[in-house]
Amino acid sequence: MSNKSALHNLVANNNNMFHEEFTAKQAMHYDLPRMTKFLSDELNDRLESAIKDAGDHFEGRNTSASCLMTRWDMHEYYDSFAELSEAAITVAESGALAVRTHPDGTENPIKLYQQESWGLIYNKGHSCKAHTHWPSVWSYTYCVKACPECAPFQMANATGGAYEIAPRTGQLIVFPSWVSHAVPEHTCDHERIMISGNLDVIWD
Amino acid sequence: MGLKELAASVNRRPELYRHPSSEFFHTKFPIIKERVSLDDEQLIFIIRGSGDTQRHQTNVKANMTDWFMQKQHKEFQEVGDKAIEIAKKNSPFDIEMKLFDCWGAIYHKGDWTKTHDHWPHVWSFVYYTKCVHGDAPLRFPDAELSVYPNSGEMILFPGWIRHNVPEQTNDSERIIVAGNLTQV
Repeated sequence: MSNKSALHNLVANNNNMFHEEFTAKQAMHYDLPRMTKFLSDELNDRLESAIKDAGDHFEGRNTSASCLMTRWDMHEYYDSFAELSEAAITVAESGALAVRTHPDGTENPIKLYQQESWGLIYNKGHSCKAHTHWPSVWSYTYCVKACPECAPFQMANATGGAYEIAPRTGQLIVFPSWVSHAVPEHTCDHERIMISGNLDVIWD
Repeated sequence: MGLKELAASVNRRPELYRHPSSEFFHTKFPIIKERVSLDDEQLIFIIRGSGDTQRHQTNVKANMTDWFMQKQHKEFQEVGDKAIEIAKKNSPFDIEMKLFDCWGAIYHKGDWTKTHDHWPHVWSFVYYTKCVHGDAPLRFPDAELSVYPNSGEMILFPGWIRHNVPEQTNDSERIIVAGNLTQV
């Protein structure tokens, strides 16, 4: 297992260095997958309670997100987060991006584990700067509670301008960790409650 | 396992750019070229001695060694150590990495490599041990970029970037070492 996580890096490097430095080389047109799945309301209630129970772990605001952000190992402490992790891993493993085979040609699936997961509560005025979760392999964002008018999830490098996904309660979006993403200023008066996480490879 | 089952087990899952949930992005990724000093003579000797272990059955349609040459030969580990050194200089964060696999290949006239990527590895590299002017380049089709090889140069790029090698048209040998780095 990795001992230095993407989120640790984001925090340690005051977030945005990746976006600035890593993208300063060769321009490419690229197709990248973005998979979605909807989970249950019952789980959402428990996730919201877990986030509010854990509270703000980054009061110093040294992350990309300006909103309340919990500790990043929530799946270790709350069953609801562990259940969400399982769902995200299932989605990601079903969409493996490459075939790995044993020397005899039989399939050798790439297995994933939850590197970290954390909750976020955006209130009016909060936003999240563009960043990536490199060097994790897959990342996800899950909408615990939001309305369609809440700030969207933005992938700024999509061809033809920013690619936006409006939040929908229960929506899980899984995407490659190296995709730069952001959240513009939240303008609704109510909370926008989200969860983020990173998945990495279990190497043999 | 019969041939049909074997064929079915390969390419069952979509490649990155064919994924049904793909969105089209225009973004930038680093492709780093750096001159390094390694034991070329010994590397070439080992690669020649290994012969075509893979029998042209991988994406590499050239004589290719075993995948994990660093486990048998320290010279390959030294190539990986150099790749890690370059990767650390060019990574956005300071992470620990290790050499996952490392192999050699000799391209003769007519040899080539299919378009592929090395996902989910963090960094991949190619080291040119013996090349001459006019040898087949390393092509990155999504960037419309061809990097022409020079002996003693290492090319490093994120593992998820698609690449290929067009047909070698020179009569001389094009000898390379390639590998992948993972986060520890």
